[in-house]
Amino acid sequence: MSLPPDLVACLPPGSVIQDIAYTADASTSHEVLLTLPAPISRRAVLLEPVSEERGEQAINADLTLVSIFSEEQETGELLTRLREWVDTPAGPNETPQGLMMTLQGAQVFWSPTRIALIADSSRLENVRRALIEVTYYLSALSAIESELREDWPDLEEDLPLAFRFDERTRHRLKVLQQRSQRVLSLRARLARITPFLLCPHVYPPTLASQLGERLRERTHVAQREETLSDQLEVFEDVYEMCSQRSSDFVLARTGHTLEWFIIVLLTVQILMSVFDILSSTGS
Amino acid sequence: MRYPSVDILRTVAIVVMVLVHFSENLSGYYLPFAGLGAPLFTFLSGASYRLWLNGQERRQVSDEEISKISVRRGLFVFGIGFAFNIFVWLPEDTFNWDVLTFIGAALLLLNLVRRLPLSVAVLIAIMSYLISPVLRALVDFPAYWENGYFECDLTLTEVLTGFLLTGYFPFLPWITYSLTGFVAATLLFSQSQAEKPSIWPTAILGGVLIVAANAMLQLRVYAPATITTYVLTGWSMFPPSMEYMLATIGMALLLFSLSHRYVDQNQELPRDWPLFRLVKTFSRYAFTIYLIHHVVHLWPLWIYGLATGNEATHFWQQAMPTVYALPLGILFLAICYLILRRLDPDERYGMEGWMRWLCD
Repeated sequence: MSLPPDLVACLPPGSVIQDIAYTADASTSHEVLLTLPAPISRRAVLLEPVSEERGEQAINADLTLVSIFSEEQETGELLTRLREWVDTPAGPNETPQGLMMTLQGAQVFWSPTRIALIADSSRLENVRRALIEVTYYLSALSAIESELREDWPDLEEDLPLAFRFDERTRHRLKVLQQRSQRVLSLRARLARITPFLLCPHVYPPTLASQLGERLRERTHVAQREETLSDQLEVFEDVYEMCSQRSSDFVLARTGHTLEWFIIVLLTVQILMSVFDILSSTGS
Repeated sequence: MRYPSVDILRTVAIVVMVLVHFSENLSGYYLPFAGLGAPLFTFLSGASYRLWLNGQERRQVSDEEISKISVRRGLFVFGIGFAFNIFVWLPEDTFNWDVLTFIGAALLLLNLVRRLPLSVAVLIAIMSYLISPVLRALVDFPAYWENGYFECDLTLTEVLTGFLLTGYFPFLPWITYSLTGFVAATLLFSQSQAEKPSIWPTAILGGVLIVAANAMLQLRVYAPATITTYVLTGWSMFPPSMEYMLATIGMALLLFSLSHRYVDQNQELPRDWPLFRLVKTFSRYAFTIYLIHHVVHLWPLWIYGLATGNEATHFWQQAMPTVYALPLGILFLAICYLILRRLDPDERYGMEGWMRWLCD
């Protein structure tokens, strides 16, 4: 992830461009910009060009952040170009989600994968850290929303199994198990980030904390979390019923199998007796 | 969905049966591969039932409807089997329990078994295999086959015994073939078409059964008389001995698994390959061909027998030498193919068409 050359040329001296990745790898050799609190257990690391001699696996950047000191004279053209860059979707299938925030002289152009930050040099670092942290939570929330959105057709396909599970649908047991686990995993991921998404405002407020709070407000985090939670509840209800039905079926089936084994063996015994009688009758 | 592997095996079974019957009934000569067609045919009856079930279930046909169709089809084949015995083998052989009456009865059992866990079907198949020699000993099987063919008095006891144990294709132990085919098809042809279960467990089991049958045949020499009389009775189709059954079930499993792997799952084979067209034609009309080939070679024999002032069956097995009988069988197959190819491939004719019209 890199900036367009014409934008780089516009940047004032002292500007910093950072490609950042969120990694769970505790032993990473990249410079750690921020360690997200437990239970997130992730680190925001600064990506540098990786040389092959180091034998390290290349990591894709999750976020590109441009920091500009507000003491430098920024032009209207620079702001326009920064906004355009942030608004440009990262992928062909993505929609622009750019936001602009101005607070106490600091300006932020934000999208889930691109941030342009203009702030006083004394506050820049704290604001940057706050944005990196909140951006992680928002990206995680978006990822869960996106995955759940794709799961609706599966849910509709599985709905009948919440009522009836039988021999015909037995082959879907494994798929059902995977989908159920996936829903639980989504719920766990949401539960992990929810305290950070819905955390109360910090007192006394700082520029960094206020920007984080404003970003959460502007991205409607509370409503999205609630909606997501409601939707996950629907999924959980359906898969819980499916799980109950399939579990009942498997248990009953084991019992039936044993009963049928006994019936077959008794039939064999009866057959032998019948043929014994038939042969004696015939003779 | 049609599987070329099933078409190929059914064609092999019907071709083997036609040639064997022409040779046996016209010249009295038993071809070396006699006894291999019927096991494959009955095995495929179970496998085809599973594939038909998969199709019905994919189309969301209700369980009750499937049962009704299965029972109607079973009774239809059973009834045709009786008609076949009366009109082809003449009325005194009404209760000889040929392969059609067996397949009809097998369909009725498969309709019950389809709702049970697969392990129950396996248990029934194994028990049928194991208890048949014991039951045959109980009812004195040789008494029904004194002249080399099945004969019974028209009493309920003997007719029932014939159906269950002593006829040409009695329910026990031939149901083992249908059940094995049903189980094998369930394991190999998943209901979900995306899944491709491994063929190797069934193929290896087939190989193991063939080796075991061979070992049993070899060990027979060293076995005591009681064992050779009742258990290891050597290679025999009437009654199907334990060695014969193991070998033919192994053969069917092996061919079924390998052909599924190397034909159905082989993407390089074009679906419009001429061989596929040929086997599809024979496979679609296997039931009809089975009936017609008997009519074609037995009725002239009966008519000629009567015309010459003898019993109808006078020329049975002595009408002509094998060098004429076998080419006649091949000629029949060729004519059959040419006629069937001319029929509309989207329409069903013959016995299969009647069965669908009446039962589906």
